[in-house]
Amino acid sequence: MKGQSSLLVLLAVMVIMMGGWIFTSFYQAQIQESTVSEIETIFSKIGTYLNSIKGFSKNALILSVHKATSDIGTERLTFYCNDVTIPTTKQMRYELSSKTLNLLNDYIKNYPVTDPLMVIEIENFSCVDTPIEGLEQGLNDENFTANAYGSKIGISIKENNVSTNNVMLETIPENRFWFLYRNLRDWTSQEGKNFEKMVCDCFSKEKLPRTVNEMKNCDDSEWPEFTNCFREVINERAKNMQDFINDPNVECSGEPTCCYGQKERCPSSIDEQCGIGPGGTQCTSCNSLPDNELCIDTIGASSEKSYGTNEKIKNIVSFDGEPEGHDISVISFAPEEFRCGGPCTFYESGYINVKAQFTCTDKKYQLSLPFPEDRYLKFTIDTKISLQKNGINLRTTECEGIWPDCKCPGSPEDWCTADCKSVPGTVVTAVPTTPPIFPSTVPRPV
Amino acid sequence: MMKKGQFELLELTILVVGISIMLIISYFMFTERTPKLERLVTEEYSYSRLGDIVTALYNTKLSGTERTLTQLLADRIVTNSSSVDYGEKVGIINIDKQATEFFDAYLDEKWNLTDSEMSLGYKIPSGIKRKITYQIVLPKPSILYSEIVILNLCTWLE
Repeated sequence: MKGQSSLLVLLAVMVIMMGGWIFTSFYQAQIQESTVSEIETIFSKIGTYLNSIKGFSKNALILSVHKATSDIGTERLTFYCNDVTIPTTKQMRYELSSKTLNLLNDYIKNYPVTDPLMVIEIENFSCVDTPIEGLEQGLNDENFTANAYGSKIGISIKENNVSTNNVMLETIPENRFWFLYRNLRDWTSQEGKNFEKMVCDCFSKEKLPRTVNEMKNCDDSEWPEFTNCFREVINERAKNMQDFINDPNVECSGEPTCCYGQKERCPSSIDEQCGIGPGGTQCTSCNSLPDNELCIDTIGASSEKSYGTNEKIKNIVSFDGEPEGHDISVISFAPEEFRCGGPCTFYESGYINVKAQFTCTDKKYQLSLPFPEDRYLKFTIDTKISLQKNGINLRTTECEGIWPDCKCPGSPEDWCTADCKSVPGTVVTAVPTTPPIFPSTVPRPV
Repeated sequence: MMKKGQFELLELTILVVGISIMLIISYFMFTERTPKLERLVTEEYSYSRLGDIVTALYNTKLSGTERTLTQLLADRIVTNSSSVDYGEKVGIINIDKQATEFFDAYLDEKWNLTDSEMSLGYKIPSGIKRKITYQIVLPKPSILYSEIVILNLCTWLE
């Protein structure tokens, strides 16, 4: 019986050991399968994440370019500021690139990267470039390329990291930003001066009121003929712009945005030509772009160079206002009694600052923009013209009286006179270099 | 010579060992563990497949326009309209139809695409217990901030 018990214990131990061994073997196999499955899941997830982030980045780049082109189009850059001041291709390229970069990085920042299994990091892009080598040949009219550099996607699982570059070279289709820019640039180069001349023609004696000296806005009822004329010129120029672009899908319109005018007294001459005006303080601003290095040229450089802006424009519109005086050289003068004679010319002078904007809308394509109703690309350019003109409101009568009491009959009190001559007499020649202050209504001997 | 009692004991032991082994094997063979693994693999495959479909969604450009389907879906959300006008050259595109054709090609009629304001695709049949959802992150045209929108692409297994 004792021998039987020992055998029984031995057999029981064998049974337990065998059972344990079989159970462990199956269980280990089970764990290995699960581990393999987990690894497969992680591999699959990494691949899916990388593809998703790259796909997202690509579409974010496209939308960012659309928004950037739309934003620049409505920035009202000044293409004519008393002269042709078109932003250069490089300036436009920089503007488009930097705006796109900011928008793109905003999208990247908002990408949700929460996963319990891994840590995902997306680095911002450092540069976006829109190469436009084919601009002049029209190769970028319908589409152009946008490239984004400098981003990395990093995925960490415990201490293990995977990272890949997130570089994109994308074609931006159905966006005619560069087409509109090229045409508006060319139109302004060719027609800008004509526009200025037409505005100058509006600023004439027939279009100005006799009594009201100041125009405060573009709807000023006190200067109706001038403002109407200005509007007509703008409409005509907008049509001219549309004809110049010559595309059935592009519509252009124009409107005055700022008007200020003032009549002045007593200019130096009665020359009816327009010159660049003194500027004043109203309707004088021009919107230009800075000169910056393209990031694609400075990738790897520590900083970007920037240059002063608006110098050219400032020079054009600057007016120091300091009179330089005028030289009066007395040739001879005899204190005897003179009879007044010759024509009396009364005249006014004045200046205007006017601004108009022209908008061309491309109806060929609608962009992916956040405006449900109207997603057409619009390109608006600003124009500013400051003019000074003498000899507006001329009137001539015959000078009467005995010098020095020469009189010009019919002279409005605040008008200036000239050319009321003493006969006979010697000559005093006035050679003013800036508008002199002549006493109103008192003729001066010549 | 083995005694009769010892022989019976040996037979009993062999019987117990045999039954134990059979019980252990059947525990692993016939309990839910193996089907669970199969289900996991199937679901993982389906999820991975959805990922591939979404990658295609990000990159597929429609004929007639050169825009991606994700771009169109984002426009659909912004305009809140199934058909969106893309200008005089491209015309109006029925985005719902385009998206339906795209997903049907990959997932037959076993999918739907939803967000808080949009629902495309098919209803999940009653009795379906296994469905897989993949989140699609879309950039959305935005006025101030670069917004995103998350669409849920759902498919189900019978």
